[in-house]
Amino acid sequence: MTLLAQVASDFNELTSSEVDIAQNIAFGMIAAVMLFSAFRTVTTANVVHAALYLVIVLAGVAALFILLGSDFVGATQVLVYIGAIIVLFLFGIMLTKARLGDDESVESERRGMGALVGILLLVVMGYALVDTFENAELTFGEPEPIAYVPTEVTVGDVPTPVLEALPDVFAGLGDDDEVTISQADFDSLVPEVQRRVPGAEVFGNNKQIADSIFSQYIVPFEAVSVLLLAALIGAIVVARKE
Amino acid sequence: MSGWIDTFFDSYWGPTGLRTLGGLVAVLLPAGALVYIYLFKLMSFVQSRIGPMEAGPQGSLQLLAEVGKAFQKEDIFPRKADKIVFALAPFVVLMSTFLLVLVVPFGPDAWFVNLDTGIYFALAVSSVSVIGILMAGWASASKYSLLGGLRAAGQLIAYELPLVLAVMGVVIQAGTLNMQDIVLAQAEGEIFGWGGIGNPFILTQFVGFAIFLIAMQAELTQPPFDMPVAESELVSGYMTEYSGVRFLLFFIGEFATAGVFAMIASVLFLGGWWVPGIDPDSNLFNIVGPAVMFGKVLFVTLLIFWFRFTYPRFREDQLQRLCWKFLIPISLLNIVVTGVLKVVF
Repeated sequence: MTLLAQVASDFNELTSSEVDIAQNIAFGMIAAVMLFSAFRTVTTANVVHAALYLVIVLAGVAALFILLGSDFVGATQVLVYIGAIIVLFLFGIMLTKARLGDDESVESERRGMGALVGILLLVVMGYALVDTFENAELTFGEPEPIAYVPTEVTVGDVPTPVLEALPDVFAGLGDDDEVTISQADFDSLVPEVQRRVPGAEVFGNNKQIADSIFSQYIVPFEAVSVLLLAALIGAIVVARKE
Repeated sequence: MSGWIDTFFDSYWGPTGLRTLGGLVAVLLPAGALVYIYLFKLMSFVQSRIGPMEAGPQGSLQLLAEVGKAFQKEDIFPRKADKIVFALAPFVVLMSTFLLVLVVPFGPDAWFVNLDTGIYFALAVSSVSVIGILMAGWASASKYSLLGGLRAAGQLIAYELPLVLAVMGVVIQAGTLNMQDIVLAQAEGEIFGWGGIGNPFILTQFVGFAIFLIAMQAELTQPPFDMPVAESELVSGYMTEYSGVRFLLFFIGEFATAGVFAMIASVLFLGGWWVPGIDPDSNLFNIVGPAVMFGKVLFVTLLIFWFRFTYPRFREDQLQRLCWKFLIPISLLNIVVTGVLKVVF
């Protein structure tokens, strides 16, 4: 009974006005398509079909990232996985065994083992995710932080929306006059206008990612780069038999 | 009086329907214009003939006649073909084109989505069309199709690299990935303190522009980079087995992608919807902007089609050598120089 009550309260939370219902419906649809395609990826006997189902799964992941407001990660997902890795898969399959129809050699007794590994992975990762993010809350719809250092600017260089939004500041000034927009005036603007103020810097998603990659995670980032370079050279050495 | 207009724009389906309609117009109108102006008329002029003249004044309705013809034809599936994959392939190619046009701005407020990652998103989704081409090549169950599909994939993967690297210079100079902000950076830019014509990035990034155009030509598999559909070797490459409407979809996809890539090139290098002399925040650009973009698209595509009608086909090894040994090193050098100059100035 307690479980049912829990489910009911969860459901109420999901459909309350605080949560975007359209987003939940979209998530459900994407997730259903992804689950079906993931299942078909491992059950179809046609290798090319398996790769194409995998495309749908990966596109679904990209769609989920975009749904979460992280279009950079979503675009990277498309660029790297769909645009490069799957194309390489298909390329390899078609160069070697581009047979149409089902491939009987794909069926094997090792399926049980694969299922076992899959379930183990699901349990471990599922537990880790729930354990880590159990009480985490995502913030949606918050405007990107915009940093502003008040600087002196020439009136002629100020974009029109800023001029129109702050008539008091620019009253009676010519194009060549210098003026400083104060922090208080800046704070009174809406974000769309704020980002156009000279001296303002939008600290958006991309900037935050770039900032963390090139400061906090610079060592792992460089290590991965060197690893990839080593793999590249290794592949060439293995492929060139002289 | 304006009650129903407000209701229309506040509803979900109103603006969404308007955007869908706008997307169709933005993709299909340039495609049709390019086929008539360049493929029918300019190509005839280059080859000293007059081209289609019968359908409509100066043959301007020839395109509709061709579309009507394609609709009447039988939609043939080869007996051994993988039916579903064969049927879906043209749609995957066309989908990539429609995703591309999403991030192109046509005016200060006239855009489909204003993504922070604009140009990066465009480059990512442009690579989806390779999947469609490989699907078509494999599912046709024909050796010409398969060879054409493999050639196309190898070419598209190789030329994606100079395309991305050529864009990097612009991104460094503008300091943003957002397409709208790239236009504004050019409109508000100054050449040594003189802001008369802004700073269209073609002036500072002409190396990037040249590489972008060459890579774009190869991405569109147009002559002199048309080995994937080389008619003297592979009949018609991955399109060999297609007929009727599905062939028409591939055909539209090719020219629509040319138009959309030209839009992206004009946003990156020619100032997008902005023309010198008018305040970029002026509401006027929401109406004039699309027309300005169309003019710039015609200019960029003129260059592409001029090359197309002038040069003979490369050999496969020449194609790969041009990409890996010239375009990529030059574009890397361009990035380094742009980065150094960005820090210096």
